[in-house]
Amino acid sequence: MNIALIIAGVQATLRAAQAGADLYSEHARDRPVFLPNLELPEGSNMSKLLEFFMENRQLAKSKLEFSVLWDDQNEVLIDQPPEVYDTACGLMLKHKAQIQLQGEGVEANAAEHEATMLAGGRMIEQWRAERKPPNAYVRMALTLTDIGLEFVASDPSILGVGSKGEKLVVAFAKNMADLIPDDVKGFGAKVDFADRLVGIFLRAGLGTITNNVSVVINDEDVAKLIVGVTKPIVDALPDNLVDQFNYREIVDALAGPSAEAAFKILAENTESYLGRNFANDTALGAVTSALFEEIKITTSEDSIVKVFGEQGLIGLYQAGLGVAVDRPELFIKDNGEARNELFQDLLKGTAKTLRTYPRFKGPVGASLAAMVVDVVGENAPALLRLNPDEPWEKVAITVMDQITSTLNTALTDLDDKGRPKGSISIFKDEQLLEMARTVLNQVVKTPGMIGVDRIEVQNIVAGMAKAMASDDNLLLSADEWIVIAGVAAQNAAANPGRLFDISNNNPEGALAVKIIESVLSVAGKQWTSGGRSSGVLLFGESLEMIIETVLDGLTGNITAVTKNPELVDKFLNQIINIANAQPEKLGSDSLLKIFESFIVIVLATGELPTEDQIIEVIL
Amino acid sequence: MRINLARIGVGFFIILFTACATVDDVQRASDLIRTDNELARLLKEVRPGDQEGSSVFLTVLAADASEKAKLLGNSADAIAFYRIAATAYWKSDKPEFTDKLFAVVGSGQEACGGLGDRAPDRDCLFLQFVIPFAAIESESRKLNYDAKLKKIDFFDQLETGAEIKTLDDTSGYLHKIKKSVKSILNVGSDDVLLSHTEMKLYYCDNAKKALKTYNNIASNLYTKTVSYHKRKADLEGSHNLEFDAKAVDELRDLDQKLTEKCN
Repeated sequence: MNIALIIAGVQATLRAAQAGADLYSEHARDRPVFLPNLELPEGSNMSKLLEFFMENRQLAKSKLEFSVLWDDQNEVLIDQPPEVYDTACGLMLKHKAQIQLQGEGVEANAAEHEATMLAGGRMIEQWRAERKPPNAYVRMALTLTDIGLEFVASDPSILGVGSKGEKLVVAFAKNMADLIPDDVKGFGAKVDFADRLVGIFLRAGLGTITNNVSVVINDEDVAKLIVGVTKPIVDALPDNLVDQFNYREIVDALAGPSAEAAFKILAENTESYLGRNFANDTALGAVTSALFEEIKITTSEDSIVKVFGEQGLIGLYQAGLGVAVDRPELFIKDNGEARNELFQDLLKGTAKTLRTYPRFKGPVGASLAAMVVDVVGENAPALLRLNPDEPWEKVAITVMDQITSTLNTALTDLDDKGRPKGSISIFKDEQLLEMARTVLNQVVKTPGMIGVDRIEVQNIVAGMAKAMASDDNLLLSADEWIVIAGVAAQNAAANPGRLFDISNNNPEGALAVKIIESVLSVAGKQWTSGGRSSGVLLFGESLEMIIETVLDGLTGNITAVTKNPELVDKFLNQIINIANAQPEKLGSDSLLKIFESFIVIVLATGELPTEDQIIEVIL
Repeated sequence: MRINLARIGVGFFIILFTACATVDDVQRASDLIRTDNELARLLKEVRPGDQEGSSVFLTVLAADASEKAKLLGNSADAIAFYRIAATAYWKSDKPEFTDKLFAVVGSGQEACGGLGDRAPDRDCLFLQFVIPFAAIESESRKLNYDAKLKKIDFFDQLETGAEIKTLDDTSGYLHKIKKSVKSILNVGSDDVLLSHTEMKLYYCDNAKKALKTYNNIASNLYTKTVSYHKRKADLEGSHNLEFDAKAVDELRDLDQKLTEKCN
């Protein structure tokens, strides 16, 4: 055995292994390894602009928005106010995005549009990340974006591409400049307030769209809204700290509902009046300024917010806006300036009335005032044509006062049990309002019947109240009385001075009231003697129709009944007696038929029909 | 016979020694690979989500690699371990380990010098710029000077005192890192680097980043300094900027040859 050979063989083997080990070691040293990169803060927009200008020197020199920032000789930026940088950054991003998109094959126009959006979106994100928007415009842009994003989260469908919600947000963005004065620095403390308000208004607008899919709110509507509604609220912000605190508190409560009211009006205006001119911002502004100036005023008693209540005040504001939209000319002077004092006078006047009659303070009174403003305002042109020297707002205040005082009298005239008399006791506040509205809507059709010195409305409401007070047996419901009041008012409006006039000719009271009272008297006697037993037919709907029939009859020949108002109850008693004697032949329908057939003759001649004539009608 | 036995004994001793050396080599190579992999894992997977936590692991790894390197003398493997230690100390972001960073880099560079042409290119090149990289990164982490400069607005005449302090601080920052930036640029003329494709790419990417940051901040400082002096009369208070645009221009003066070499 050759030992040397063996050792050499082992050595060779190990050397081969060593070579392998060497190769392995070499591999361990030379294999690719991970080398970390230098981590430095991302360059600011200023640096990005600098780099961009260095790479695009021709563009930097030729485009105005860039050239104001570029010192080509020293290869540095020229310092400018922040908004100049922002404008340039936006353009830079757009330029880069456009080049990239066109490089990817997107057509030039589409690339420009998309690049604008990309750049804008990038700037929004940057401002948000910086947490300190450079100026009022940017701040509002962020607010609009944030609120839009809120709605994207809760209802994505309204903020899709090209959706109504997106258009609304864009409309706000386009028009928010109207909120910001030229002297942005002078805007001062109002920046924060305006920004908050814009947010509230956009939220209200998106809420309106969410709740009503058919609503369309146009760019022009938004423009008018911002100038006419949002701006006056901002402008009315007091300087004094205490006043501002109080004002902000009120605006916090009212801004949202005010915005919703405004959007509702605009949406209705667009829906109902296609092709109509857009709302007039001067008129809207007149109403809004008046409201927000007036709510700042606290008298020795209280503010109008206390008088009307927040909800009530919004209702009144909405009524004012409605008139401003439909009749903007009422709120604009000949020289084009707003008549701010008009709505302020309305607010003051109606508030005064409610303070006089505290029973109506709060939402009820406010609803009444809103109703009066709405009805009188819509008919103001006719009133003004009739009497140009009589401001319609004064007419509205007068009417409001008349209705309120009359209803107050009725409600405070109590029976010996301390309750309002007759049917008045069963009236809810909304029903009282509805009655007043029914009367007013009819009366206003004859413009000559309402005016500062006119008392027809008062007479009708007072007359109806008196009649209702006599319904001790509650034979008619509140809703039935409202219908009767409507008929009475309609007939009174068509025949001024006849039904409800208290004059030398009718010293004992209005004719219509006396007749209704006498009908009720007859019905009441039947009720107390017979109850609902067979034979008593005068209550509820049938009684309502009897009264309406006689009120209609009062528009014709009333020669006999004027001298002898008891004719009607005589006639009724006659029919009832016949009905009681022949109950199988005479039901409520027959009674009404008989009454309708002969009442005109009775009122004119005083002649009652014979029994045979009566039977003939029903056969 | 006796001579034969002696020869056999010596032969086996040599074989045994060689066998042990082979096993050691394999073990060492495996250890290097494992340590490199662990470094990569910490940097790529752990650090992005937990900088604080990864710092601890990185310093431990760095210390371990450094110890292993010391045991390997002036070998290529030692240099590899020094490279790992330097990288881990750099990215641990811990100022208290700065001297250890310098120590491992120094030892590694000494080993590179000792090996001459046989020195591992990548690791030795890396050891040349890891310290200036770490220095710039560390200083830049203290404050985002670029962002602060951008916010300066001498047109609104507000907070001028704070704005001037920003200019002062920025000037101080640039003075501090200028040497490091120059040092990085100087590496760019190394022929070994220029011929090593991957390292050239790595170096150029990061050197450009460093130079860009420096240039941008210096230029913006210049812009704001000019703006201050233009509007000084309108600015309230007794704030005063001690230097002028000319002084900033001197800061901007750097050898810009990097651009040529890295294109």
